[in-house]
Amino acid sequence: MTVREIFRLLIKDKLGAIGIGILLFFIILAILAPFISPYDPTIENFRADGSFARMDPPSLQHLLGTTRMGRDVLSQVIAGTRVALYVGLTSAVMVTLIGTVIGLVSAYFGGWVDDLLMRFTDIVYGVPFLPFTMILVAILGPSIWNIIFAIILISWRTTARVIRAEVLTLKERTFIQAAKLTGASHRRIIFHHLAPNILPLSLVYSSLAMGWAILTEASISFLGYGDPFLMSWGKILFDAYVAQAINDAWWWVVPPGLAITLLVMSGFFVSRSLEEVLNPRLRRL
Amino acid sequence: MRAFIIRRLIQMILTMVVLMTILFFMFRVLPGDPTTSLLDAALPVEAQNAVLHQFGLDKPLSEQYKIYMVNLAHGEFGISFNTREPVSNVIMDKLWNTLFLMGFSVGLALLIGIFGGAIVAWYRGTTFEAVAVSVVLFFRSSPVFWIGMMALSVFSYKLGWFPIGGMHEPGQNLVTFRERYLNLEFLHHLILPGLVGASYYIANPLLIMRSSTIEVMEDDFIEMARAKGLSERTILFRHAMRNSMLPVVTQVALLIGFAIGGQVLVETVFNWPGIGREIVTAIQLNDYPVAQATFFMMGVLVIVLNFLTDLVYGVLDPRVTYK
Amino acid sequence: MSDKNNIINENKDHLLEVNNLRTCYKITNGNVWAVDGVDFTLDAGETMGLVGESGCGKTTIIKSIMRLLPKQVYTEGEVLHKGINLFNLPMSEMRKVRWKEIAIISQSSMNALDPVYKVGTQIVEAIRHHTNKSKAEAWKRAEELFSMIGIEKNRLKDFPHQFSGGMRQRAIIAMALALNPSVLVADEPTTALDVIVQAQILNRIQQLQRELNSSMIIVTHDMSVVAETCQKVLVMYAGKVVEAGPVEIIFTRPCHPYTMGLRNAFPSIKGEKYELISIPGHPPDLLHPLQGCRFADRCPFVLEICTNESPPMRELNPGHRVACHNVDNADEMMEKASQSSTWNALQREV
Repeated sequence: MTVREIFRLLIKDKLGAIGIGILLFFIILAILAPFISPYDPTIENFRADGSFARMDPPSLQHLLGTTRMGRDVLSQVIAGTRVALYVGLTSAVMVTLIGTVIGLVSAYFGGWVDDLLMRFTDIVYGVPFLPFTMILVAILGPSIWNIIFAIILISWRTTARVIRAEVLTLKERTFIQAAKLTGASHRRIIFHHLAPNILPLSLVYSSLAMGWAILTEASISFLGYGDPFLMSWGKILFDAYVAQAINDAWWWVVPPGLAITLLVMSGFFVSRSLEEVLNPRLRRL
Repeated sequence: MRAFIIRRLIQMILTMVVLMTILFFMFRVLPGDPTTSLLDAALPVEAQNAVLHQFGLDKPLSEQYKIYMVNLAHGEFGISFNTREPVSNVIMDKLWNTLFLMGFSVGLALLIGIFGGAIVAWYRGTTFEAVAVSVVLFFRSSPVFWIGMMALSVFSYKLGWFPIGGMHEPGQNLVTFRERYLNLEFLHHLILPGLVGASYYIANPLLIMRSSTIEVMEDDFIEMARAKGLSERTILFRHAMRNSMLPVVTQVALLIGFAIGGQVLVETVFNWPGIGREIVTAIQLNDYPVAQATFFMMGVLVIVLNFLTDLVYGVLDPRVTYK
Repeated sequence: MSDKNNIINENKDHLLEVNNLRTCYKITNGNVWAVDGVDFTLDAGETMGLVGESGCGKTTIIKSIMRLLPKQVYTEGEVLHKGINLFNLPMSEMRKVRWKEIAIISQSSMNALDPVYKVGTQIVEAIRHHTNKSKAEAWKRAEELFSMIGIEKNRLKDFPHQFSGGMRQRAIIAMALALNPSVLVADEPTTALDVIVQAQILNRIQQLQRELNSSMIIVTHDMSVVAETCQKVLVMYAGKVVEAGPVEIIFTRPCHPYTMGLRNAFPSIKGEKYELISIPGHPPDLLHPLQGCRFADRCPFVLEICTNESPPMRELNPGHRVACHNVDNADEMMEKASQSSTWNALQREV
């Protein structure tokens, strides 16, 4: 199916449309962040009477209230959008690329290449995700790049497995056999014949990878290993937890978590719609 | 069958060896000098060296590696840099704490996921399905620690239904297994973190069960069951579900890996004294014997549970024989 | 209640009576009347063949009778079994009729057994659902059935994947007979099997049927199977009955061009040789049904009236009815139909 057909079917499905809508909303928010953010997220604010605006509930001046350090929550959440999308999209692209290539090469060439890559994947599968990321970030330092690196290092395995399985079935199909018989080069078969057929499947998993990456980054930040220079949603929650604000300042706790949930959910919706596009049996009759 | 088990055991050990080797080298690269937590700078140099010697930190890397591997094989985890206690003491109790919590969460997630997924597939196309799927996806998309924070806020602080974290009321000296686990107080503390964890883990089993059941319902033997005059409920639970749960079981391995990560977060938010929370503190304090040991335990847990899942699958699916 | 009994006793007391059965599948582009006005009767001990090409509605008829079609499929008409209209029964009652009175040996027997339960367990399940037998008694009955079909009884403890295709087919037959149903329906019972096994299975089914005096409907597109086993035949085309009658007449003196064509297209198991001729063309698209006779565009003897008016069903002799405008020229048509040139002429046009 062409990309256009896929897109059209995606929009027709309500959830798919919602997913894409939410994604676009956040992307636009991120792009416009410095323009629409009411305050600098790192500056302490003061009330009209000159006192420190500490843990103020939502008001007209501060739509989502303030933190214990008097910072505007809404501005922080808007700033966090950039980090989330940066992590999510970069990871998604890299994970898809690496996972697809490995899965493709492994399945296409088979033999010892396949064995080696799959043993490698198996070992990676055995590693507990979050602890490993923590250790890696502890070793390399809590910069956002290291976090993304750790995420990519562990996440490619799922895509690789799935793509490999798909290519294995495609390999036996007649159009590939025919291409081989007519003397098509490996490159041609891979790029011209196989790639377009596995692209939709890759897209399904890339939306999942995006969500996964955002959740992981938030978790890492929550545990205290986040990039100290970046205002990520996870970091906002870390600050809130440390300030023991759970009980007192719901406006500090709810919005960042909700933002994470919405963005990750959009990834799920898009991937589910893509899946229904690919597997007609799952479509509602 | 026996050959299969032996082969898998060898595989498992090999994986653990590779894992721990990688870990060994990674940990030696950890920033922060472990010696600072071990040593009192006021001590004379000889005393300092003596401590270093005691912990084997003055030997060349290759020797440290050999000692490390041998110790590991004997279950010797060394001494905590931080508390100076044998690591095994520190870890073993915590392991049980984690097992109980994780077992509860994962068990609940699987139970509701499997039955729920089958029922959702049955009510395909209805609002019930849409709502159920959306709810499940919501929890899957939410950071589990955020859900935990809000659960604590609502159910513990505001409503007072559940204790505010921890595994027991503080200040008790509980020694025996029964005192610690087999009582209502423990259960009371277990429920909220258990439910929060379960809500996070339930999405995959439920959704996989749903699509698997949808596919199975198209199979010929389902129509045959109908032709035999069986009720729809019998068909769903005795025939459809029994077949469609097989793909879920194959995914339990992934679920467990996922759950270990989740445990780290849940234990942190709820102050649950398990190995999840332990590894966070250990890394922070550069206590690498403890960090290594916890990581090792986690790896073993994942690998052993994977193996057990494969065995269970072999029982559930008569078409599969292990040779 | 007594009124109904009187009505039944007035007519001949048929075991199964189907009146004006019509079934409609609603699909995205429109409606497909897969079964469009089918009538037939079946008496105790009779074997009826239901023949026609794939997609002519044979399986839909069977599923309609057993009410196995999904809710979205619309069915109308009457199906009287021992005088009771099955379509009027609440589902809970219908489930009691299923298998106990009417049992199917389905087309896809390869996969008709649940892979995770033992074969014996599944037979026992059918028995215990409809009777009060204990597990031990039901298992004993299953053992009897297995000896009837010639499989050793300890195979009952095996799983379906451990059976060969032919064995699975026989197990399904055993299960179908478990409750001594009054009507046995065999849907393409031999399609998936090779010729030798086919003959064995057919013999076995007939033998059992004679022993139990059940009635049988054999659904097939294979005329040779019908010739071997049936007393009467119902020939279907595109959802309608085109001809119905005793098997001898259908085979020796068919009166509908389609029946003639069918007969030509199949070799006989017994090995008599005649020229194999196939009917060129393909069945009509039921989404947009033609006016007039549905066979018109494939019929070598088509008349103008055939494309305009649907042929009425005429009873030529007691028990033999045909729906064809050209039926008075039946002998002539039969003569020409046995020559391949008649049919090939069509092909050139098509």
